Amino acid sequence: MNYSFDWEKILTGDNLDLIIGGVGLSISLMVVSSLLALMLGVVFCHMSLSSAKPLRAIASAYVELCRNIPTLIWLYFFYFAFPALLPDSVAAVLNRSSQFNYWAGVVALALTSGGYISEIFRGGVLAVHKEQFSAAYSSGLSHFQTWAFVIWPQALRNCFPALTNRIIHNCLNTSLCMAIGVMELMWVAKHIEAITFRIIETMLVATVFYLAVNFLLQWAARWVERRFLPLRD
Amino acid sequence: MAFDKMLKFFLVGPFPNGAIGGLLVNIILSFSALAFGFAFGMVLALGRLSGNPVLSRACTAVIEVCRALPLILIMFWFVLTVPLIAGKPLPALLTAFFALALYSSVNQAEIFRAGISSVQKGQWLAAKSTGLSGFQCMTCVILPQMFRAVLPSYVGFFISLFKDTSIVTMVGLIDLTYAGVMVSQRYPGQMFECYALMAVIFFIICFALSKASKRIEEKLARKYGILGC
Repeated sequence: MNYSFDWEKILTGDNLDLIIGGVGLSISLMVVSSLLALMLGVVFCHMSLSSAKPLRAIASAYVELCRNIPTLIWLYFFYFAFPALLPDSVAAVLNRSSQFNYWAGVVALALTSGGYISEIFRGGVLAVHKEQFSAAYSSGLSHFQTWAFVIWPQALRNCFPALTNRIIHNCLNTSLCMAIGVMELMWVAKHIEAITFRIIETMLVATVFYLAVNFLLQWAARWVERRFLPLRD
Repeated sequence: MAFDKMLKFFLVGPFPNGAIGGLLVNIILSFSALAFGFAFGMVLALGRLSGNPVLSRACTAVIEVCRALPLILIMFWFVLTVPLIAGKPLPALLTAFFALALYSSVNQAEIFRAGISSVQKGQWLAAKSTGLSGFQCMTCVILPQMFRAVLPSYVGFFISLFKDTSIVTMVGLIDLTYAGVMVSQRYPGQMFECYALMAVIFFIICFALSKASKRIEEKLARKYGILGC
């Protein structure tokens, strides 16, 4: 196997700009889709725990759809099939916009991760003792205050490892968006490899980025857990 | 495109006129990756938990690095470097199998490690004190309890592995996802049928597996108690 490393070819000029753009787009995909997934998770968690049967049915249908259909199919669906569902004028605007595949990727990732995260939150909330609810209500706290100040902190403490695991998985899944043409780092690495044939260098760049992301996120998770969710006796 | 032709294409790909594809590729890859991952994952987990520092650090490094990378990157590593090493391009199914096997091994290693750590320490001491060697302790006492304890998360992992085999669309294999996208782009008038059929096939299989997993979990809980051991 004769392979000569040539780092200058991929780390200079246009290729470097592409790589930096790819890193920026990857990070932006990760942040936006994770935040959206957390919001969706909270909403659907409340829906699945509500006393209204239709809301529970919708939440459970959403969770089952997201957990049984691969993320890649959701990505293709939102990019290719979804505009056909909308009225023609809206679909024309979407198909002409250059940001459409980015937002299709964000929505698909947020939807699938939101399903898992809503189940994780639901597990965390169900693990909080029933007495906490009654104690909070009897102290005069309103419904919102109970959830915000009594229940959610304990629920988060219960489910935190699973939650961070899922968010890290979501951030790694942003590499799937290369399937619909989002120019994030995985797409850029493949593109540069196709032009320059520098296989190992380009894949190493992507590897180092994802290892760094994983390391940073795990460190951030440990920091958040220590700082905001300490166990109190 | 007629519905039965579409269904046949989704299930076995262009088979008589070409390589196998469709759902069959997903099933073959997921089962073979699961089997390889069981063996190699057990090796990695036991290596990580062993007392030998070199072996333990090496296994930890492999597990942590491979779990930190997206599956698509591992797939590209294999697809691009295996021809470099072997000197000639290998069949796409084989390189996809290698990538999925590595991914499956490291994840199963983590599941096994969690399972082994969850078996009560007293079991080790009791087994050792009856004179069993370390290897006999592991195989006859600890691992059977571990399998019962991790069965729910193991089946959950298999479901997720089955869904992850759809990534082989990125390396050109015609699996169910790629078949659906190809047909929907070739016949845009039937786009929704394609996506719906794809989604329904995946949904049926994964839903059935998760229901089966719940039933196995209940049966084990009834037979062995909640802890499974």
